[in-house]
Parts: sequence; structure tokens; C-alpha cells
Amino acid sequence: MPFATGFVIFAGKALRVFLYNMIFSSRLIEDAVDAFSRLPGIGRKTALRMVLHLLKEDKDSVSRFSDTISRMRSDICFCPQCNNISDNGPCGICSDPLRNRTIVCVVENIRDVISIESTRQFNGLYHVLGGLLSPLDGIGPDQLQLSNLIGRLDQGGIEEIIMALNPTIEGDTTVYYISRQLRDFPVRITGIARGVSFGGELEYTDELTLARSIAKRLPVETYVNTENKN
Amino acid sequence: MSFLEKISVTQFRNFTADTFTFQSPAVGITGLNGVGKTNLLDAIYYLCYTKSYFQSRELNNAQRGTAGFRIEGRFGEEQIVCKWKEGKKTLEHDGALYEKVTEHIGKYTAVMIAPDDIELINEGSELRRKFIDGLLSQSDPFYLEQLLAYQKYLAQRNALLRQQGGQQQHIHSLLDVYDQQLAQHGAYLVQEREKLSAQIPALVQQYYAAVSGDAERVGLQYRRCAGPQQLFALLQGSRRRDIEYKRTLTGPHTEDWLFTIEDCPLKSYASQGQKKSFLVSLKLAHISWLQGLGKKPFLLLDDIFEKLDRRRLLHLFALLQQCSLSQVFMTHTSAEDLTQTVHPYYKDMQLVPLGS
Ligand SMILES: [Zn+2]
Repeated sequence: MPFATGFVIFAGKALRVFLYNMIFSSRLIEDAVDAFSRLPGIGRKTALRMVLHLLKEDKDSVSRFSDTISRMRSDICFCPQCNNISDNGPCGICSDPLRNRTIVCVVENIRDVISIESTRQFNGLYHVLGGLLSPLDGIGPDQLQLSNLIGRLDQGGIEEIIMALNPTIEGDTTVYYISRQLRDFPVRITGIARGVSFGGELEYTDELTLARSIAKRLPVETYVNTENKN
Repeated sequence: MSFLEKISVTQFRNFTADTFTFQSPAVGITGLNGVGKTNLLDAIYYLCYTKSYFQSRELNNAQRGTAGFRIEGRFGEEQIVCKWKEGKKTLEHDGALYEKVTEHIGKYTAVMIAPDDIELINEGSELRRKFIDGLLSQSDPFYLEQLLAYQKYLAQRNALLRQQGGQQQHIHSLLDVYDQQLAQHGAYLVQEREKLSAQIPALVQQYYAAVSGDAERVGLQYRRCAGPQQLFALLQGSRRRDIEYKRTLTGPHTEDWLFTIEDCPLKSYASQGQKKSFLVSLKLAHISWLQGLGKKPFLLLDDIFEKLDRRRLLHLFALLQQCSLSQVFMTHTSAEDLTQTVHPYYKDMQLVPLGS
């Protein structure tokens, strides 16, 4: 029995080796498979399926497909204000006149903007840092989009900065670093709540999260006062 | 809490795929040198702490020519599975994956007594810190969390000191942030180390007298880097030198404990026999510490029959009778000598011969 489970652990590796050595009769197919398998989450087997699918499509639709991708890469630009992606100049969020310009949510990357936007709970603006402080990964203050955040505060009008960064060593370091950099500005700096998740049961929450949630407890008024005010 | 009834080891050290079942609270593992007696003890230790007692490079724990291993243990009704493959460790409890290793640590505890322990006296401060940190992590998951956070912040601070590129002013503001984080997490480490260091020496002294039958005074002095509230100032004061040497030169990660005999350093003043008595006393103090936390540790005795003289050995077994242990595992090359020696203490010992 233990042998059987041990075998299962390593069977996956054998299969990958097999796929890696897949032999194609066409150099063109092989190159295309290589190209697709460079995408995150795409193995060579899936890449081959995609290539064979494209081969069945007519030539025009495949050209349109590859044009869309290369145009996306060459024409995309970054919002000069918040570093979010944009088609040209300021992004859709920064140029939306209905958004609350007194509150800015600081996030690590564009994916976080998409996540927060999907909640439809936030109507302010964003600031994308492009990473978190981590000297181990070669990311210091100079590698983050910080100077234009300070530029935005210099212009005035911002009353609150929400730090919506991961609750990790790197996230916390970035939060503290930025709040120190901003301490001379008359701006309120807040962080997103962390602890027991809503709908979670205390019994099933690990004791460290629970301990932190108790240490950082909140007045009960905040429980009911949840309508979107910004 | 029940004892370990079954263990299956797959591709761990010299085991390809072996299962052992245990029916007794005392187990004697016998066989010639090189059959893997110590490896079996280490597999049990691994189940408790999800790491080896001897080998911190996980790849070296995998059987030669393989890239992973699996250890599965049944403690009464509970099933624990530790897997390591391709650089990743996973831990299961009754078929469900633990999200964090810290959820498991402290659930099952073990104390190993092995010939290599002499390094605790003779080698650098890192081993002594590990020993003390181990004691504290087993009793307090919050300590373990603070320790892990401290180590991560320290690694970041050291990386920053190594690079020192960019604008000097930015470096200093970021170092300020790291100093603050290290001081905050480190304060708890120093505070708890201090509390422990106040309790442990009396225990060690008491056991030392019982194990050796001698009257020497032994001790264990905590050499802290600074008080819990002075860490930030300590790091700030060390900043200039840290930048020069490109690493964090002081802090809780450099602290040490001085083992003493008659107020002199044990390392240079004690005889081999005195050192052995001291180590056994330290381990007994560990057991007693765990008992104080309401835990019943597993005791793993590796090769002590050949390393300790009869007198100390019999004193040790007499002392163990008063301890509340989940199970005792002992290794010996000779089944006969083992049975003879421990019979007065463990009448129902189970013998597990290896390599036959
Ligand atoms: Zn924008």
C-alpha cells in the first residue's frame, strides 16, 4: 500500500517528461506549441490542443486573432496618474467624472484593481504600485510607482488613502514605508480590515487569526454601518 | 492522547516502502549499524515537528535517486501524513490538508536524545537558539509565528543591506521600517526567552544531580542582546556597522545561552561524562517543560546504551519512570542487552528488529 502511494507521487513527473519529449513532424507546429506553453498555466498538452484548433480555423480568423494580441501589447499604455492600464492617456477610472476623487486606494497590481472593481463597492480612484517592497526579490522603493503618488498628493484634494495590500511581510512593509513617506500630508491613511472572514465560524478559524482578530477588535457600530458612503 | 500505532515510510532515507506497527508504550528497535534504526526514530520525530532532527536539507531526507518522500503515522484514531516532493512540503490530518504548518506544531511532541547532541555544547550559538526556540514554539504557537515573521523581516533587511543600491535616503527610510518590525516581533521573542531562561536552570540542576549523582552546580545563562523595549534603539545604534558589514550584526537572532559548571563555561571545563550528564538533564528538563504544558511527549532514545555508562543509564531510566510519556522508542545493536537493561522498567517492551 505505501508503495502504491509512493508511485502515484512520481507518476506525474514521468508523464511530464513524456510530454516534454513529444515529437512533432513539423517545426512550425513545434514552435507554436512552444509559444503557447510559455503562457502561465498552459502545459504542452494544452498548447498542442490550442495549436491544432487554430489549424482548423480559416487563415483570416487566425490573423485577426494574432493581430488582436499584438495590438493589445503594442498599443496598451499605462495611466500617467494611477498606472492602471489604459487605451490612451488617463485610464477609464481616472477620467470618469462620477468617481470620488478625494479617496485613493493603493494596490499592488492591475489584477487587484480588477478584483476591487468587481465588488462594485468602491467609487474612488486607484494607485497601482507595480509591486511590493522586497529587497530579496530586488524590489526597493525605486522600483515602485511612488513618486507619482506623492505628486498626486501634492496637487491636493485627496483626503484618504486606503492601503489595500496583501497581509504579508512584504505588504506590511510597503504599508509602513508609504505611510512614513506620507506623514507630512494632511491625509487619513487606512488599511483594509483583516481577520475572521465574514460567514466564517470561529470554531474553524485558526487560533492565530482569531487571536489577531480579538486584538484588533472593532466597535460594533461598524458592523451595521456598512452602506457605501464614498 | 494515544500512542503511535503505525508508521509507513516511503522513500525516506534508506526505507523504500516499509510499514511498522507498534503495540506497546515501549519499543526497542534493534539491528546492526546502518540498517536505519536512527532513520526510523527520525521519521517519528518528523511526524511530530514536520522536520528532521538531524538533517535540515529535505532533499537529503529523500532516498538516494528519488525526489520526494512520504511519512504516514496513525496516532490512535488520528492519521498524519507528511509529504515532501519537488521542494514542496504538505501536511495532512485525517485526509485534510493543513493550511499552515503552525496548526500542527505542538499537537504531538517528541524529545530526542542522540549522540550528536554534544554539538549543542561544543558548536556555535545557532544550535542553542534552535533548542530554546523549539521549546518555546512547542508551548506557544504565537511565539512560533513571531519567530517566523522575525526571520522573514531579517532576511529582507539583510538583502537590503547587501544591495544598498538606489538613493541613500530611501534605504534609510526602508531600514527604519525593518528596524521597527524587527523590534516589534523581536520584543516578544526576548520577553519569552527571558521567562523560560528563568525557569529552566533549576530543572536542569535538579536532573543533573539525579543523573550524575554528583553535586556540581550547573547552569544556563541567557545572553540577551537587549531588553525587549530596547531593540529598536539597538538596531538603530548598529545601523552604521550593519551597512559597513552588509548584514544585521545584532538582535535576537544572535543571542546565546552559556552552559556552565561551577560558574565556568561547560564547553571548556567539563569532562566528557559531565557533558553527557548535562545533555541528558537538559532533555529531561525539556520533557518536564512539555509536561507542564499538559503534553505527553514521545521519547526517542538513539544509541544511548553504547554512549552512556551503566550508572547514568540506570539513573536516567529511573527518572523516566516519573515522567508522563506517550511512548518510548529506543535503538540498540543488541536485542539481548536492551531487553536485559530495560526489563526492570519496561516489562512489556516490544522488539522491532530491522534488517533481518
Ligand atoms: Zn488612472
